[in-house]
Amino acid sequence: MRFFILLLSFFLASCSLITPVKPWERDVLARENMQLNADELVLLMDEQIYYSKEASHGGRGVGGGGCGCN
Amino acid sequence: MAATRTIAHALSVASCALLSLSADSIAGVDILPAEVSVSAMIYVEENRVIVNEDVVQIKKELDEENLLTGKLIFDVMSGPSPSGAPVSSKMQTMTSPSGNQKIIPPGEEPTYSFRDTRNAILVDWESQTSRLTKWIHSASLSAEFDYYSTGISSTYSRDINNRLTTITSGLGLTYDYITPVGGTPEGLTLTRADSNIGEKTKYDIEWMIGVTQIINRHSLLQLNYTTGSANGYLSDPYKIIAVTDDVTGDPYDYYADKRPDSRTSNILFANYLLDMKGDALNLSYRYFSDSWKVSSHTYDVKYKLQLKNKKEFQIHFRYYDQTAASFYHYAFVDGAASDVAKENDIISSDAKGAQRIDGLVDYASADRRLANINTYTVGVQYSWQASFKYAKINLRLDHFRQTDKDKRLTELRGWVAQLAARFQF
Repeated sequence: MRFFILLLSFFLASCSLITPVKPWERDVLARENMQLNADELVLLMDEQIYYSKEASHGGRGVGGGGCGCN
Repeated sequence: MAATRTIAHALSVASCALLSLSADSIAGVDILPAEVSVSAMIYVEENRVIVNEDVVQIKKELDEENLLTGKLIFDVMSGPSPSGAPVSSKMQTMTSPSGNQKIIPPGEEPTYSFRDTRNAILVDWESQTSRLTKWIHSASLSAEFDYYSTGISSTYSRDINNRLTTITSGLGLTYDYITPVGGTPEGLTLTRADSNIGEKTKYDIEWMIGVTQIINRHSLLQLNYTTGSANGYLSDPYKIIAVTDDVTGDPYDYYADKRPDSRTSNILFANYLLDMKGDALNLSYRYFSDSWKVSSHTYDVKYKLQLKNKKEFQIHFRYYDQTAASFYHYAFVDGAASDVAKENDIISSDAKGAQRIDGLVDYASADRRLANINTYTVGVQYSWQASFKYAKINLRLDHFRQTDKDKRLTELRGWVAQLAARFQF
């Protein structure tokens, strides 16, 4: 629970720092290395590896396909 | 005239960014009519499993609003996998799921060897339903020799607040069909009794809601909450748990793994991206907790350094820490005479010679994935562009170490090497 509160505080603190970004100022955020799912095939492989080695999984979204994963 | 061109360029960049925060959408709508990605990965554990996984992905724009993505995945997995039985000072004789007997020398971790292949297909249909809204519908099908999985999901996102904020919600359903080699053993019965309760199924449902907020021109934050419920056969048919002698500590009998037939989970995920003068810092954190009393924290840091000539170098660090499931035991200890056993691992001396122990415990697993473990990962990635079809090539190498915090399991060490290339047509 304390992590949730910490996370929420961080989010709210970040929101307080929000500076409106005009459409013509989004060049930086449009860059490939600023995308949330950049290197998507690397993310796909990593999620599968750790799914098969640890008890936790998910968080980024839903779906993706299951496996027996011995 | 120059000013007009500058504004036109700025508007063009902005229109790309406005369509979505997703690289896929930006690529799919304005830049790429078709994109082909291929990846080859090899995953090697020290003295254990080797996995080779190849992926082909094709993204094809159907029209200005619709993008179709298809993935084909081919895996080959082989090598020894831990059975769940503990290390013993005596020789152990174990029977593999396929019925072969294996002698485990004293001091060696019991494993069974397997070889399997997995073929999977995943299809995503991304539809920009209005200037501010988008749906992604997905379907997946995966087949292994002993495991079949099908899944569907839909995710809706809507931009609000002058497109500084994106609200996302998704629902996913998975149905799995399990046909273990040698049959499905009845949980908590003697493995040598050779029980078989037939083919089994499992259902998963997941729902997520998330918000992505542009903080300023150089940073954005994503926060997701996911809740999930899995029902059906959640045990591992290949894992066993031993009952050990309270004096010698040596195992004398092995029982089939048995886990609860339902599991609910809650996940919080945060991802922060910061532009640092052209470089990108990617921080993520995940908190996971479930009804099996597993809770975990995952911290992930990636720093992508922008080099000359569109080359990139990335450093990656990941730390994962989990608590054990409530029914995890390294092994059961027969009787209460032992002063070295953890209290949680002690089972009644009635277990001695018992055909089944489900009258003594409800659930039990010695699967190391449910243990009190942590994992450290360090990795590097180098990317460059080639002239052929605007290719972008990635080469990455990760190394991880997984440690039992209770210091009873051997350390697991693994390496991941992956070569991926993306082409635009």
